[in-house]
Amino acid sequence: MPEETLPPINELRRFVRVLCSRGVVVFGIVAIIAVILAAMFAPIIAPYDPYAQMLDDVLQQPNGKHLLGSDSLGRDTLSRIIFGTRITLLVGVGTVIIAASLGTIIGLIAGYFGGWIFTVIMRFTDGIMAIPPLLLALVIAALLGTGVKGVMIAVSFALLPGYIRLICGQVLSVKENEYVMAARSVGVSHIGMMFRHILPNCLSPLIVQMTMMMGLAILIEASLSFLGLGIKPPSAAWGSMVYDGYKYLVMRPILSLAPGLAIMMVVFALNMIGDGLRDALDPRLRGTL
Amino acid sequence: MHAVLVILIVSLMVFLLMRLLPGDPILMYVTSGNLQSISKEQIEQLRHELGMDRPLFVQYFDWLWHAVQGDLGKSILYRYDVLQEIGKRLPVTLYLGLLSFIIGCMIGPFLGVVSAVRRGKWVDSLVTMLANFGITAPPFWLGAVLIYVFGLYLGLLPVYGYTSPLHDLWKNLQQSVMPIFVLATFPIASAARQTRSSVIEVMRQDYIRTAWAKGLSERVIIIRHVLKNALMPVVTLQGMLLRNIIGGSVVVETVFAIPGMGKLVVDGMLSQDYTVVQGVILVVGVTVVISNLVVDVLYGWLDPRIQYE
Repeated sequence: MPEETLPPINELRRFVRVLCSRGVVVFGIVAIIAVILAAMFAPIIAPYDPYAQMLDDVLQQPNGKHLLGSDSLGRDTLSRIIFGTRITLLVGVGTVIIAASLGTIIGLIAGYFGGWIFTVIMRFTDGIMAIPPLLLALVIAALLGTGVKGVMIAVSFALLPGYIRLICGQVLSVKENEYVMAARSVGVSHIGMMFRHILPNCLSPLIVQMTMMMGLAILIEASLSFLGLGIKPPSAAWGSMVYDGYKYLVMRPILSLAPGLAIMMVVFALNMIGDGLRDALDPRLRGTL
Repeated sequence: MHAVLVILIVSLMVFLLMRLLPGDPILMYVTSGNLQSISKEQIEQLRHELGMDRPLFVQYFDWLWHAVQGDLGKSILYRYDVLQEIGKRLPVTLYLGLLSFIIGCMIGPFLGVVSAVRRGKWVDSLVTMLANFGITAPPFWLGAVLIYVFGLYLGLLPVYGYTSPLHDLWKNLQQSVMPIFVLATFPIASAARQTRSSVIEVMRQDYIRTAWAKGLSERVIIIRHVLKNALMPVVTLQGMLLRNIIGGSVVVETVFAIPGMGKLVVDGMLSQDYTVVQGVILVVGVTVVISNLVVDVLYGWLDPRIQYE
């Protein structure tokens, strides 16, 4: 067959071409790379120490010295936003790793074995899903203490059912394929079946979901911090910065608006990348783009 | 049956989470009432009187038994009846939430259809762009922007508070515009996105080509043939959106200082008033499960192929 002689690089090239065919997706990728760089080199880029209280410069308007002004304790807003990328990325990446890996394993088990295992897992998933993620994360964050780690676990738990559902649904449909039956007939073990034969065929929707969920995790963390139940001050978390600036909304709206805009940019970028990945990975859309 | 089971699981989860939370409820109970020093024996006595020295599962069934009878206990801090307080605040949250939900259900799919039908035109680009921003804007930030622009800068709308519509409709509307806008943004945006993609998918089907070939007008095709089939995933989404609106009300009610369920749960959490939080989450869970049930029934009605055992 002629197809078999085609070099595999074509698939990758097609993927990159479709991914980059939309301007917003490229914007998303560039924005996320910029955020990662900012987090890595924060001490070099940031003009000031994010925790340094310059009491001569309290509540400054944006000016040459403080590009985005300074807050009520004289801390430089721009520096705090730059350092805030660290918490944001940590929460985003951390929750996705925790929730996706746990959710994948639980979803695989539920979908693969079926029967009462499926029923029990799905009922519990329904139970968790009945509580809005923000509310659930709020309670668990209080339970675990309001550090980055606690918030990360809390948000992961709140987002877990989404992954379980997704993977379980995928497994149920992939399981029906003939190659799965073939693998079973040659005596592949359960573990081998789940991870070698079924999981790789569930990966594309999982990758898309992970990108989108990273945005959602960042939003939930920001909301928790805003409510005062997430990452506690003085940490430079964007959500708590919005809250801190809130009291000075009349006088210095930028204190609230700038970190909020940063949250929005990151989540927007992640969603756009997710959309782009879906277009590039979904075989049904092949040829339309 | 299924719904009852899920509600039971929710109640068990809520109960266990609350018991695992740090802070001894007894000490809260004592210190909130009279600040006199109390001996260890008296604390144990009180613990016994409140039934908190019993095994956990006995406490759970006791709590559940009372909850079923409409007794969610009393606030640890302020001693008010939790169910009564929820009864006072639930209408506020439901009023704002349902209005936002209805607005979202009408505007979102409409925008989605328009943008799918005019795919690639400027309307489509505009709707897609706005929808993408709508699903990303953090509600507390959107609230801050609105408060700054309309409340403080232009001085057009009151920036906080809630008045019952029965009491003063005009004031209520003025106060509700911004919270409803913030609450409805996400539903509108995500419904528009979902509708757009499912309409585009349906429009590729053979039967739509047949309908065009028959010479039907665009309006008939869109309404009779496309919409009916494209609506299913949107209905599924609506069930999820209601859950999101309840979650969103937590933030929105805090931003606009609205005395609803969301504010109640945040205040309860901040002051470690766990009976209140426990009660609110249980009520929220039951509300969501019931609304999911409604969506399921609606689903079966929209698509007779789906049967429930």
